Amino acid sequence: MTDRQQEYFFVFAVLLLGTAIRLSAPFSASFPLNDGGLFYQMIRDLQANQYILPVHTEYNFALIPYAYPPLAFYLFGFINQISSITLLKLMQFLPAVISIMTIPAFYLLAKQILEDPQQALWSTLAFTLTPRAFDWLIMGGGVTRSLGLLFAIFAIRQAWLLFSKPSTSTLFFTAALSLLVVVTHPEASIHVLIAAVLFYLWKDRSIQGASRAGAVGIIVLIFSAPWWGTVLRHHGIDPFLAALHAARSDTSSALTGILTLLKFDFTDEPFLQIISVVGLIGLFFLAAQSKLLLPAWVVFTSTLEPRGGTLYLILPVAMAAGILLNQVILPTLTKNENSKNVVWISFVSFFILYGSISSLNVAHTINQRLTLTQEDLDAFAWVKANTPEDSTFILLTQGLPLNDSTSEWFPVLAERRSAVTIFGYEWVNDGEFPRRITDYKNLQICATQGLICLENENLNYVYIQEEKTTLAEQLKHSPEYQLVYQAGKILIFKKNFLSGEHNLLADLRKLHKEPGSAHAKSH
Amino acid sequence: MQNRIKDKEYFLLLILAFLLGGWFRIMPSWLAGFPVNDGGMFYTMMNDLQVNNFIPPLYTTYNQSNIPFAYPPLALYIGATLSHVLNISELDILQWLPSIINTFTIPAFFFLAKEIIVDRFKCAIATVIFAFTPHLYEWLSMGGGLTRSFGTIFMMLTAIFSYRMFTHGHNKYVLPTILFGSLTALSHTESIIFAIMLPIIFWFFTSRSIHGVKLGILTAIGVLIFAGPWYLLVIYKHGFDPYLSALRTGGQNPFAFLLLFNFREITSEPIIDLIAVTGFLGLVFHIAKKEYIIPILYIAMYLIQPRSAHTIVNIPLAMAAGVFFTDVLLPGFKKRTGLILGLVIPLTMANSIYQIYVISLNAITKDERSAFAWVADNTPEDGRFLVLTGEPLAFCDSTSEWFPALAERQSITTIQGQEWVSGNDIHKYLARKSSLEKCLIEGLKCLEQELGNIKMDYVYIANYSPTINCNQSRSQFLETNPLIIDLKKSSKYVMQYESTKLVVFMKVK
Repeated sequence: MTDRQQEYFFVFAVLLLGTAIRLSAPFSASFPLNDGGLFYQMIRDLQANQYILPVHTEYNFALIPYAYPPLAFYLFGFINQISSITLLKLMQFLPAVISIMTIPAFYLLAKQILEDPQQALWSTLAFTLTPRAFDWLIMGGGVTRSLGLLFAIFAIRQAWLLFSKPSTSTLFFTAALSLLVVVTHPEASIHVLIAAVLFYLWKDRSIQGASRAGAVGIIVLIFSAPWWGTVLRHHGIDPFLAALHAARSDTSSALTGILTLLKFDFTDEPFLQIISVVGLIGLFFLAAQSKLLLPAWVVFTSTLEPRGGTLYLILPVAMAAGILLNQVILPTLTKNENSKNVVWISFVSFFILYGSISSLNVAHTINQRLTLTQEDLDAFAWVKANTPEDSTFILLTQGLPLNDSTSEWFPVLAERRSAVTIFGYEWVNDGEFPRRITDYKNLQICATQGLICLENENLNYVYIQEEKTTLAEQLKHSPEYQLVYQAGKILIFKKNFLSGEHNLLADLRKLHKEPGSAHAKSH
Repeated sequence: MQNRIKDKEYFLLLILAFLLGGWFRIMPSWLAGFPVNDGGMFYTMMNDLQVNNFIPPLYTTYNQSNIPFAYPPLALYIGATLSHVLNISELDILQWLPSIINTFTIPAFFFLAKEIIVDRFKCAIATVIFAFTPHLYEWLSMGGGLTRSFGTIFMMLTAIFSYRMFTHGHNKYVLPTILFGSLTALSHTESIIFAIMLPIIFWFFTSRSIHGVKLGILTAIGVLIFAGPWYLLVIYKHGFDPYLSALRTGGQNPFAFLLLFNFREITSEPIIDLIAVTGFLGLVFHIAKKEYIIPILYIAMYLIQPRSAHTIVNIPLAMAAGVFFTDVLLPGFKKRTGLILGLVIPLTMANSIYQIYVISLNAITKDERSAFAWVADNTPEDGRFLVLTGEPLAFCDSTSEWFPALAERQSITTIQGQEWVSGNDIHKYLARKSSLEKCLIEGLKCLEQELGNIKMDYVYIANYSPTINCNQSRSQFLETNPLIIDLKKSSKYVMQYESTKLVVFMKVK
């Protein structure tokens, strides 16, 4: 085999490994992994509105502006419409399939940036085996995240070419790929911009380079106008400001970003952080050789956009890990580079085995701990069939504000309002996003604090996901509540309104809801 | 000139390792203000020795369970004597002495590394890594580290002199090997196993001669002469049962080798596994260079004594990490060694400081000590207590261990000491403790089911354990706990003591 054939064979083998890892969880699940409820509703809204951008999404009866970059929704909606595959099945598998495509994309990027094709190969192996490179991508919410990363990797590669080998076609492809990123995922756009600015400063720093970058920006702005123009027409600048504020409230400061970076615990490796440590030492190794591009990329990313940065940090970290493996660790294990000895083969086999086990463990954990079970789906179906349409639920799931599959899917599948579901509110510019996060957290504590915690809540039902909690025990014995559903660990209690008391919130919502729904349907 | 500079560097590194490593080892006890985690049984055993005029009693009074006083007694004698002579309380001894002895394992490690690795600079780097390994601030510095720390340091000294004995074949190393081997045998049961295994491995790698076998036999006879009387005394009083029982609790099983790969648990680095990964790469590097002694030590320690290997294997792991750092990483950084130090120092310091804080949380509080005193003063001496804390793993439950020592009443779920009487049944004890802890959430019905025919007079609930399954937790004591609510409602129980963080119920007969 020639060197190139060997290279392709290696990439193909790594791709097969990555495919097995990334598809393992969707294949063993029976529902989209973890999140995706909001996107599911948004795709349905788009389909119901004949693929014209709706003004609001009907998600959780909350009048949330339909401002999210919509390309992925169009793609999933079209595929669903032209094929016989249900939307839920598409959301279960397609994000993982797109995530697989990031592996060859990353290889092409690494090959372009790194000096040696061997380094690119080891980097690709590190990228494939890093759980953070795929864990949030294979979930239901990966509808936009996976496509965002895929386009971003291609766009970052084009940005590198734009400043290192400029040509008209490079400019055109950079603009086209950047456009795809912008209309797919907001954070991906920011990371392409960060990488592009860094590459410009590194490779170019000329007026011509700045002009080319400006041209790309203008093209992207013009061609993405149908999306942002529609949002501006319906809502003004509010949704974008809201998203910025929400991102800021969910983000640590730049200083904290640097301190978090020092922790270097973002690869999501569940056992030994081999890739993280090898990548970290690799970055310092590069710095010692005055090769500062990758270290600078890491620092830029973690200080400028720490919220989604962990995913995009994997790009330079995997490259640094590949360099350290190729230049320092592997050469020490063999005296002759051409004849690999038993130790070299054993180490590489162990690295692959360990990385595969840790990645499969992460995928399995997402499936087992974060994904809705049949028990949840049955409970949602019961709620839909047996409770009034205008009832308000409080969901106690012990989840996290922005990582709670029950809270996210409940409004979509049970078709009832969940009082503290946060998803989607990042596009509502009422300055209340931080308060909503606090409310959510406070409410989850109620599970261990007991009934007194619910006294001031306006609610019709309490949905508890863990039977053996203090609150569940107290609700069972409270005259104010009635256990109306119990299956496995899930309990649903109905609040008994005493005479003279009435459900003020439900009345208010009735008034509030009607114009909202009419609004969505009219567009 | 170059060597003199390296000599200075290595000496400075050793000073740094000793001072900072010592600080890391002592800080958890200082922050906790009480012996960290365990030590309750040793507290009682030291008291037993003092009360019995330093003659070993037949049984320890700990937990009123007729536990044979079979534990190797040297550390207990040292602790009890220091307490008696210097008029220091046994609690102070348990708070400070283990961490001070643990600090001296740092120079002991250096001398052991010097025998195996030889190059002083590499040894000094390995010593710094050993000093900065968070796991070593834990089990050897806790209250129960009284015997573990003495056992470990004597085991390391035995290893040093046995290595010299087999390498040089000189008789002059026999006597110190016998001395430290005997002190190990009289300090800690698990250390004995390592003290036997290490010289055998050293003989294999360095000697493999008949003369070496003779020296080994001579040493073994010497250790039997010095340490044997204690074991003969115990066997004379109790038969072989206590030792057979203790042997069955070593955790040996066919899958123990899998723990070999659990590097993260070995170093307990809370932030980033820098030492664990470097150590792992170091082991691979040694195999690649066909230098097998350090990897063999690592593997053998795990296979022979899995239960305590997670602490002791840090010795070969730190050596492997040290060699990898100096032979592979430093040359990669050429003249910019400052950069790699800029990476390693902040991260290891952060790992250490965070771990110190976490460890220090695992100690019983003033509130609990007041409750123990109340129990000692206000309940019948033969009262049997069910102690519930929210920690299902008995070995991490400091309240359960200290309760019999300070409240002077029997706790039916305390595991400490059972290794001398229960044998394989210790696993049943562990399972029962875990099942009973679940009843804190599931309520009284669960408690009655789990207790079955076990007699119990009081329930002591301090449901705010700093750990759950030995991992740091944020659990809070809540009066709304289902079991507490059930017990308050039940006519079969009467609440007798209540503070902000714990309650004691008496069972009505």
